Amino acid sequence: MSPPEWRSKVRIFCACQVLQENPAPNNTDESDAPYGHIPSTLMKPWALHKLEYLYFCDHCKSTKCKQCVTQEVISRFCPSCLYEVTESSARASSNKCLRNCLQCPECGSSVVASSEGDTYKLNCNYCSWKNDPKLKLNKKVAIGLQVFNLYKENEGSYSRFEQIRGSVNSSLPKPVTSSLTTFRMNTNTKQHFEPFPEPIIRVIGSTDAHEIVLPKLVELRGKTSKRCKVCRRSLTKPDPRPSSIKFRNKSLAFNFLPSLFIEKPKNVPSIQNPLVTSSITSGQTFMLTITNSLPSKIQLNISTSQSLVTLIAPQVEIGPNSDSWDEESLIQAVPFSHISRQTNVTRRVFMEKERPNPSSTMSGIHDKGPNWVTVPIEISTLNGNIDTSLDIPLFLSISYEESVDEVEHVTKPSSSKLVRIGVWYVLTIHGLDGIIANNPEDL
Amino acid sequence: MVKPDEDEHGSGPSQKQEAAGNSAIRNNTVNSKKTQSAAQLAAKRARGSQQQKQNSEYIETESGNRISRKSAIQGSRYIVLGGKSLIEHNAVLRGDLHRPDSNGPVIAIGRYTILGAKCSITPPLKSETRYPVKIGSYVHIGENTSIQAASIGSHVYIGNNCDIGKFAIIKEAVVIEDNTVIPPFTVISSFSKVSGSPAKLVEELPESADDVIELYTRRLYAGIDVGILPFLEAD
Ligand SMILES: [Zn+2]
Ligand SMILES: [Zn+2]
Ligand SMILES: [Zn+2]
Ligand SMILES: [Zn+2]
Repeated sequence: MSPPEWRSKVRIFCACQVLQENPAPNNTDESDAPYGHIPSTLMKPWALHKLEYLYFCDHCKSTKCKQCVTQEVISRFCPSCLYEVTESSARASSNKCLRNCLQCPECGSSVVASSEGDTYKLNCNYCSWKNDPKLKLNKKVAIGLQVFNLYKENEGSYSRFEQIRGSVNSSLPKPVTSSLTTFRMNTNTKQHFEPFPEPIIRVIGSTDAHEIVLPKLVELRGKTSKRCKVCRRSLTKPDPRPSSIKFRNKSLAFNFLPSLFIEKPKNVPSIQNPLVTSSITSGQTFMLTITNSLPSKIQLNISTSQSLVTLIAPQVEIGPNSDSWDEESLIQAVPFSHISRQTNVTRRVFMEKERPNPSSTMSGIHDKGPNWVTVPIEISTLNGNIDTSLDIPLFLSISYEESVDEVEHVTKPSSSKLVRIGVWYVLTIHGLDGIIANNPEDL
Repeated sequence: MVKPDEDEHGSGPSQKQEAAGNSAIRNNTVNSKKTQSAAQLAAKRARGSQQQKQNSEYIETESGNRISRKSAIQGSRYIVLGGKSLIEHNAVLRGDLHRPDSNGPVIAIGRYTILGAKCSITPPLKSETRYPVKIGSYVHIGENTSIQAASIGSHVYIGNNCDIGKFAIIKEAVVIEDNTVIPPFTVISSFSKVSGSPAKLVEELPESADDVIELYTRRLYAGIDVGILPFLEAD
């Protein structure tokens, strides 16, 4: 039987819900004492986020998640033809594109219109759906608008056919818009839209009741800016143009907070640290690499509320992030264990690398680079009782010097102030039992 | 934060995106010689012999493209690579499927683009004519994925075993999960994560998407074990 696969993940706790429940006058002491201050919602999935999904308010010096930012729609566009639509047009069109964009009612793929005599014939790009020949489209009017008008005209009569539709369409997949609803504009714009009818209509002017399936209209998407709910400062503001991915400003946690990476133990004795070797029999030593994202050096104080975990080096200093993304800098910014393919540059960086000196090994640091350190973290196995997965909450108290470049300080350009940030990370390790079982000699 | 010599040390997020457009790509074909100082060349030759052996799986061109010796590049005259791209074994690039009446490139690829093992890039066909495929910078194309798109923007991650239909347009900052089928002529707009057959929008990507994908492809090129893209990691 093969052991369960080793996996780990790192999530960051956004404290917004805690602050809402009991708004402390200020949270300055938060960065000092994690014990006794363990947030009640720490392990709640909705409070934990991947680093790449969080914002960072540089004014409040705290993370911001989707729940603690205010969003404002700054432009609306069709994701298919990429045309920008004004707010009033979007409202009038129930948030649909009225140009020539259509979706297949069966599979949701885009539909192509090709000229056929005095009308258009519609074909799905993916499945075999094509329009009912009874659906006559005028070549002088945008197809989206014509289809939209057909939906509108049939809105009243639509409910009568719901039952028929139900029996006809029950085997069909759910309408594609269901997956889109979560990011239909934002809530205050959305409330103006009425629910849109299903794509079955009664043919206009037809004497016998005959239903035809209309193609679906494409739902517009919105570009939103985000603000900190507490101080109202802008966190991200995109360029309103649909094809642009530029931002006027972008304040992301990714560029502020350290990133964490945990590695499973290697078979080689990992460290020459007497502190560690004395206790290795009680557990497994993992390697935790912490990478600084800030352009200044940081002082880190790490603590954990997980009693099975011992941090060998709870206090570390990490150098500044160069912010340079050239090949050499990127290789220097990771431990050598992360190199999977040797190149001339990896070999050169390896040759030129400074080895950690014995004094830093004594301080518990396993390895370090310009903007990262690797520290051992020991997980005790509780006399052989190992769970398959383990959550490790880590409290990181980060402090760094920030230059103050306000106008008042022109005379003192080098003035700086000390900034302290406290953030909870939750490391989750899966397949721990497999690792322990694989290394019985280490137990 | 930006080093002056951009071309050799592309630095910071998205600095050189515009320059990786057509004209810049054109000057760096697979075979082109870039101007290099005599000292650099001498140093390179001196190191050359022993590295050639260790590195024999890949050929490195003057503009930094790392190309597997087992890749299948056909019609290289009609393919332009912007430099610093990684082409894995059995990747198929059909530059030979160009228009007989044109000497222009039929496959144009930007910088830091990763073409996974056994992927294929085929210029799409319409009314017996082949049309060019344009792929931007910082693009990851997974193993076994077949591409017949008209264009793929920069900062795009495409997973393994995907089928990107003919004349599809993938805009910038897009993630396409493994095993996804993008039907022909489909447009995928920026900050979309799509999945399934046919592809459906499953998530709107956060604002970090372009930076995260750029870093991912730059690290892959550098030989760093990048793991799974954060946007694809299970919750
Ligand atoms: Zn929050
Ligand atoms: Zn449209
Ligand atoms: Zn269809
Ligand atoms: Zn704020």
